[in-house]
Amino acid sequence: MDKSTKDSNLVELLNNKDERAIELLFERFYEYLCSVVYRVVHDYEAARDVVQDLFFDLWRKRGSIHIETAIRPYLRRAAVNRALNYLKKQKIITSQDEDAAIDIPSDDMSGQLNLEHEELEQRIFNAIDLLPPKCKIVFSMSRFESMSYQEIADTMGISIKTVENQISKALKILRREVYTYAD
Amino acid sequence: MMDVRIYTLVHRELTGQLSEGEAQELMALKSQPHVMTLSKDVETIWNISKEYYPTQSWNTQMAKAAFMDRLREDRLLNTSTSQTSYLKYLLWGILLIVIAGMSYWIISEGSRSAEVQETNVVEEIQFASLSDDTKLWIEPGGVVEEVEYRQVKLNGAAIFDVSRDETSPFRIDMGQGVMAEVLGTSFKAISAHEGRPGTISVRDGQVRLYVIQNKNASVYLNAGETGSIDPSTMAVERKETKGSVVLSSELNFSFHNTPLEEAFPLLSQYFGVEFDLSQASLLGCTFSSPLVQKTTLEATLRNIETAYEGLSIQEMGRSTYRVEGKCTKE
Repeated sequence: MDKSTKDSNLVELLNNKDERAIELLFERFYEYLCSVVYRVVHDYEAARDVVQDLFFDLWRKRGSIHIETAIRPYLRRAAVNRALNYLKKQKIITSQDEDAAIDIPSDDMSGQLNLEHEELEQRIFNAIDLLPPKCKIVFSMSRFESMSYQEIADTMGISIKTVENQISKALKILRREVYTYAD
Repeated sequence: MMDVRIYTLVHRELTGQLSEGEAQELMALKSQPHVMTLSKDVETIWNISKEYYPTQSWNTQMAKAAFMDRLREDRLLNTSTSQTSYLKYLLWGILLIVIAGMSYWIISEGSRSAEVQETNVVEEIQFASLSDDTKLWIEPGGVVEEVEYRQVKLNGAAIFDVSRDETSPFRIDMGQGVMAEVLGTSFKAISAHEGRPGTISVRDGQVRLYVIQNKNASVYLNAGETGSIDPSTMAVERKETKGSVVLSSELNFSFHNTPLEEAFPLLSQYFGVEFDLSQASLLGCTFSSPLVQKTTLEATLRNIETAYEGLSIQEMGRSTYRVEGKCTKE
């Protein structure tokens, strides 16, 4: 077994309790999964812990793992589910989410910025980092996990109206931050 | 609030969630230059944000070293457990002999009744949550034992609201070989016992009910369906659920000028459901119902709605009801 071993073979080897299989899976997917989890939890330490726990449980369940899809989407789905569970445990996801009106100044700026793509990209990424926590989570679920309003509402235990408000709030803040230099 | 609407419509368009009516509304709005600019900006932000990843270096090698240490610790723990197991069996054997001797002495002396009680049998509907965040409401007389992570043994009846985890199915041992398996859903389960079939009534999602010894005795149940398997005959039954899926509908309880803010948590406890009260104003309102005997949850909720026309109570799925409005009396 080496770095050329196929992902599907790794699952088979893991089920045969081969420790090298979990090592290779860890090497291949750790960084990717940390990034995926971070985009949901927005906490570096938590992302590392969630992913390590995921691999640990994978090891403990060796011998009884049945994966019908490719390993990468399977691990991604598992990582996202765990990230959402983490948020629930941290009470970051609660039903007491604010439904208040958005009190961001009206934005009439031109938006016609002729920024280089890289500069624009960096400005957007920085703005995402600056979003309020719950707003960021709702935005992330929609943007990175392609979840519908209904799915986000169900996951977070909030109303669809609140999801709409949070998405609008996120987009409005991002637009303000990104295009602020247009004035 | 107009801005919220515009942003929502633009976002719905980008995510393919726009209805026909909303599409027309957005088209009309886009005739305004301000909205058109806003829409273009948001589209640019939306498309570029897809590439957002943290710049943090995750240091795979260091993490892997820590992970392998953890595996080694786990293995050592298991090894040491097996090495000491013989000693443990010996000690347990001695302890059992001592207990058996003492029990015999107590019975023969007749000094007290030797009635055995299971301490974990619940006397009233009890709410519990498992290590994976699964919630459950156990009916009086029921016992739920968490055998291992996402596996429980049920004796009696309980409502489960299973947390979703596609990597790890949740299994319920319902007795006499009857098993239920789910990924994440809400349902009521009644264990198999002395001729009684193992039964599942699904509120939300899908549940597989089967018998370990017989692969043919298996049924997939969807929301609104009730299914059962008789382990003695392997007979599988599947039908539409009549009424709401709640715990025992033959409960005795009463309300006497009970503040509504207290009544809903009590109903939640009695029937194993949850109420979202965040949209309701219940302050200063009370509810009386002399003896709500052999009633259903639905009937009780309709009584509350009748008493307070300003309130509306709707089932939202997954064991949750939303209460909305103000409870002013007409």
